[in-house]
Amino acid sequence: MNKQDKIDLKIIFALTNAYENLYEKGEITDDQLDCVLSLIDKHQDYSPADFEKKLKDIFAD
Amino acid sequence: MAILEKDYRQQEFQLLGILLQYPAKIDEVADLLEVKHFLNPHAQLIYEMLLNQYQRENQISRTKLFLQLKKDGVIKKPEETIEHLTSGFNTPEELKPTIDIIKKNFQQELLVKAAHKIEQLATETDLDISEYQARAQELVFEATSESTDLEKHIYEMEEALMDSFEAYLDRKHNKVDVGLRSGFISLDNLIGGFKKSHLNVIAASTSMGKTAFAINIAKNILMRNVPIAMISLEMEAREIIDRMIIQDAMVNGWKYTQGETNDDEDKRISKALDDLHELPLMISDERGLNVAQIRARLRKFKAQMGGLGLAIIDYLQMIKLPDNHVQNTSRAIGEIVLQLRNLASELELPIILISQISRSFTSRQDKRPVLSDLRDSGNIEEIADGVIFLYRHAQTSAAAREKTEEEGTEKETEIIIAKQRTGQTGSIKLLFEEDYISFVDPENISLEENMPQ
Repeated sequence: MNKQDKIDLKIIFALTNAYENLYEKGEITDDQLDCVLSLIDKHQDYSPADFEKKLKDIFAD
Repeated sequence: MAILEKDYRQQEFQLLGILLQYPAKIDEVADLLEVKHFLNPHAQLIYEMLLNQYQRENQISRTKLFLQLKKDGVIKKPEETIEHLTSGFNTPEELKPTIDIIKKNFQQELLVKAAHKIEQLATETDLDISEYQARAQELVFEATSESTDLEKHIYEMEEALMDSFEAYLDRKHNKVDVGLRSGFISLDNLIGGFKKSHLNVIAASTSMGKTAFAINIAKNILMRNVPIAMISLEMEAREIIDRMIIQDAMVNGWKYTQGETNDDEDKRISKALDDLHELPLMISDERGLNVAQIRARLRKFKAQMGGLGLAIIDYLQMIKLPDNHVQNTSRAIGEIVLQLRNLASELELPIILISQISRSFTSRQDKRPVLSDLRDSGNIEEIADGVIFLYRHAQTSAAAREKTEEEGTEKETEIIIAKQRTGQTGSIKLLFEEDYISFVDPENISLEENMPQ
């Protein structure tokens, strides 16, 4: 695993942990967590701008 | 053993790594690997989680796996584990060889466990040698019965068509035996012979001639030098051979057993002994055998004779049920029938299983047996590949006997093919010669009459 992949993975874990915390606190819904996890899983398919847009779509309100 | 365990971990974690890096590959893997195939407990746990995700959502997710591992707590540092799994340079091309190794490891492990159990079994002093052998064979069978190549059961259309077409051409050119001919032309014309790997049930109520019919078929087939094994759970081996002698010599059965045959008949008996003595037949006449013991014997016979063309088991209701059957006898019998069907596949031969049917149908207007009469016997009608009923109207009541004697039809026996997975259903008529305890096919007689002398 190269350095970039390691960093990627750390970001994935950090994001996943963060959104899980929000879910545990009741600040995001079950569906929102599901969608955001799916987005994180497929993060390589999106450019940073697209990723941000999709993230905003999930939390539109 | 330690080296082997390390190998398990390496291959199993490599596979999980491929899955996490190429999640779409779960479609292939889920069809080929079950949780039990993983020997390392951590790899097993992770694969089970992924498989559950796949079953629920049709896809797998690395992030969800991470959260689940955290929640589960069995694996202490999920981050490190996932990092470790995805750290190797894995390619999708490595998937198939890795699956093969995992399955091979699993099968080796099964054999090792079976060996340990057999070793333990040898210390049990309350088993006689045949029970010991049967249990040991059972353990080895269980350890080796898992298919090594699941893909052999999956065909693309073109492949399946080619298979079918080749088999069709072979049949057209008589290259393959389309089924083991019973020797009764009418029956063979209808069912096309007994097919390999098929379980055929011959069922009738008492006194219809089930055993006589099976012995008749056996004798017809033996005459063509096809090896046969008979598991007789009621009749002694000598009685079976006596029946064959009576049929072959065409002497009155009662006179034969009473020693009252005349010189002419004695000559025919002597010739029958000559005809029969080299035929490839093995008989087990021990009563109270269970399925495992039957399996062990048939395997042994097959090995001893260098192959078997047919096995006959007489009869289902005499097979010893497992000790815990009390709650549901019908289910236990169904389990036995299923095991015998699997045995036919394993040994690659047709098995004829004789079964009694109760007289519950006697209240019916038409007393011919039907498939539902077998329902009390563990759903034989669903499991067996073929079901043949014997029905002799003359045997149903004293009045029926008188009436058929008046009509001259008392010998008539209907052979009802009620189920046939690969042939036709329907019925034929044979004649039962009580004197010789044998069946005669009018079709055979007409053929013999037309043979050039």
